Amino acid sequence: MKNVAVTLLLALLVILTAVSVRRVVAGSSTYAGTPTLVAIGTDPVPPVPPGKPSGPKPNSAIKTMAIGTDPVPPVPPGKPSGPKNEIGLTLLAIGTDPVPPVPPGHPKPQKPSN
Amino acid sequence: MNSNLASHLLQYAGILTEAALLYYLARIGEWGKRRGQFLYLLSLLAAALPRAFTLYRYGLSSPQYFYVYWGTDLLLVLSAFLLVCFFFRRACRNEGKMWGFARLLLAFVFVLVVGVSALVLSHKLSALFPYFIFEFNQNLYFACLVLNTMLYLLLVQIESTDDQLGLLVCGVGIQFAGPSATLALVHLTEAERFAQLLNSLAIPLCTLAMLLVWAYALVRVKDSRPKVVRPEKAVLAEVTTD
Repeated sequence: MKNVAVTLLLALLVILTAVSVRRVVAGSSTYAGTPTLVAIGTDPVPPVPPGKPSGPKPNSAIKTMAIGTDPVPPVPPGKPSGPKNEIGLTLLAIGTDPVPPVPPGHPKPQKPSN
Repeated sequence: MNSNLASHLLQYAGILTEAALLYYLARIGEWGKRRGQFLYLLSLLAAALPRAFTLYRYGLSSPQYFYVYWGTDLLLVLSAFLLVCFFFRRACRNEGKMWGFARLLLAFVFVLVVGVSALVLSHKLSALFPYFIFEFNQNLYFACLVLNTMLYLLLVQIESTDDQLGLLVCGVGIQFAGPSATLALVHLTEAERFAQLLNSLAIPLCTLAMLLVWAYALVRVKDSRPKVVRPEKAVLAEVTTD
């Protein structure tokens, strides 16, 4: 019984290592036209057609941090990815509420004149 | 153009080497003793022929070649796992207790790979073939890489005198670790052109390198595996009958 438990633990370690190595090596390389899958054989590797999986894809638009082991969902276009405003100002504020965007036409802060 | 030529050269060199090795094993009549290698070489050749035909008939970017390639890859990954099992068996030839442990470990690893890969299905039931095949192939491939590394460390640990097995395991190591290392290079260099070119050639190149190492090991290195220790009872019975 003890042997079986030790073997199961070792097997878990093996599979975790394998999945981790896979994630590190191939997980985020999804460059266009480059196969990100490993295979066996001397035949040329076919290109992965669009829509087919080639490992978990990174989303360049993600600027958020999250907790958990689940894949982070991509931020759809148009959704905020951090406090931004339309005239590019970075405003500092106090509180937990989302910072409202500065409407167009809002006067820019005056630069201090010397 | 040059990379196409190189990939075709590697493809034909691979098919020729596989066929030559199979012929050599059959000629010396040791295919029964080396079932693991024979099975793996047979799978490589069995996968290479439909792949070559589909590539010639439909082209590299065709869906036919895509499905044939990744479908046959399943066969290859499964036979690679079996090969690693045969190597474990050969390494633990005189270590009955260790073989019992290794056998259980290999079974657990296989079940876990199937389980982890099946988890993906719960999200993507609509595209069963590509997702499951990809997940299963990739997970089993990397599991074989880890197991092969473990086997090499085990051979060093038990100070194995079976040089041929050591070379065969190194050959499989080239096969598994080469493409993984190249993919990591692509990742690190953010897919520079040279890295991309290297990556497209890495898989066939590493397979060919493995076949050449195997050819050297089978032809030039003597099979110095230790003989099976006979049970004491049988020896005692022989002595008493004499």
